[in-house]
Amino acid sequence: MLKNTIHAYGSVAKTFHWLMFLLVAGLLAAGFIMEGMELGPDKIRLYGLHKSIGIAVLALALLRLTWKAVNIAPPLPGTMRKFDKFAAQAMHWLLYAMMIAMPLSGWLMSSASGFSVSVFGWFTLPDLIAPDKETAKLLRAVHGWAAWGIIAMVTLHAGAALLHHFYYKDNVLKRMLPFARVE
Amino acid sequence: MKKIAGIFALLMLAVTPAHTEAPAQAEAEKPAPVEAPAYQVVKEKSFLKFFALQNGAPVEGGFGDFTADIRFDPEHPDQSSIAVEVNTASVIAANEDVAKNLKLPEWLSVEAFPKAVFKSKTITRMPMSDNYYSEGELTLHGKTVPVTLNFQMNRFDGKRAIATGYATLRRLDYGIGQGEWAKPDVIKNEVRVQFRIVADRK
Repeated sequence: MLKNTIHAYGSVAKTFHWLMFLLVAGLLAAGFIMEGMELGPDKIRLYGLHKSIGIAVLALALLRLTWKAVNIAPPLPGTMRKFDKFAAQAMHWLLYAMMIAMPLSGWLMSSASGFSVSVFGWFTLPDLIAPDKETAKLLRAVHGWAAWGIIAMVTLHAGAALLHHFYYKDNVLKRMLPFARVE
Repeated sequence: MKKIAGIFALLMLAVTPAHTEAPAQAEAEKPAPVEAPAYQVVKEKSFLKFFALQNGAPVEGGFGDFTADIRFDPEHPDQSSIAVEVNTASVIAANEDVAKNLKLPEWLSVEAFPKAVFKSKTITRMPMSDNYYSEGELTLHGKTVPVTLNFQMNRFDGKRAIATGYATLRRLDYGIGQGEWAKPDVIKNEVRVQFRIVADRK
């Protein structure tokens, strides 16, 4: 099933979810690694790849939100407390916001640093702001702290899913797992 | 076969003196070379920039300090000439670290090679247009390589001349980007130079 049902997420939503997870994990790893690298072609190459994939995440996030808007979502279990439901939904929206804010802050940071963003060498994005050292420094800090923010959010999100699966023993995790069947 | 060679040698002997003497005579009769009027660059209105491709995206830089000896007459491009001298240490870039790195030995090596010089050999006007191209030599990073400048006269009123143009260089021809940078994948070999020259008649 491509589309979502009231019982489980469809394959499109699942693909979006897990592809996004892999890309974001890769971006975080690359981000921390490249920051500590000595200046050389490898460092610049990794920056280029990081930027390209970051913009791909931005594009995917917009497609994903569009897909979400035209689909039903399987509701959270009725047994959940009102506050927990609110927390789960708030976390989802925060994660979506980060999928957009993070690439944007990186794009802004690139513009401010005087390095335009090329997407896999296919095309170059327009610079959003003029190069400025102080602005670049600020955006670099924002981008870096946001990375830790994402790590915290994803940890809470995954922790909650595991809690549902092993403690509450509901199908909240299963309905997003690839190839899993939900009755 | 021998006979033919002999005739050919005789022919050569007969012809050669006439050939060597004739140009010598013409040289003596030729008037002193005419030079086109000289122009003084208006520094604050002119620029010399370059664009390198890093990860497929253009990275902008430029030189703040350069002088030019320009003689120009649009009706007599053959009498015109361009000589530009660039202070390589005046390199600037949109990113400060890039400018700092460009001065290092792997790149422009500005301490060893403080000057880059372009000298035109020919200037040609494209028929029915304000477009020109100049073939010349650029000495950069201790290496001299032929380059072609393409430019357009945006304004020329006898007093002030404004020209904009470009040239494409291959950095590796000059040995710019040494060691691990010599592979032109992350930073491409082709570097585009762009300029705008505002100059007043001396």
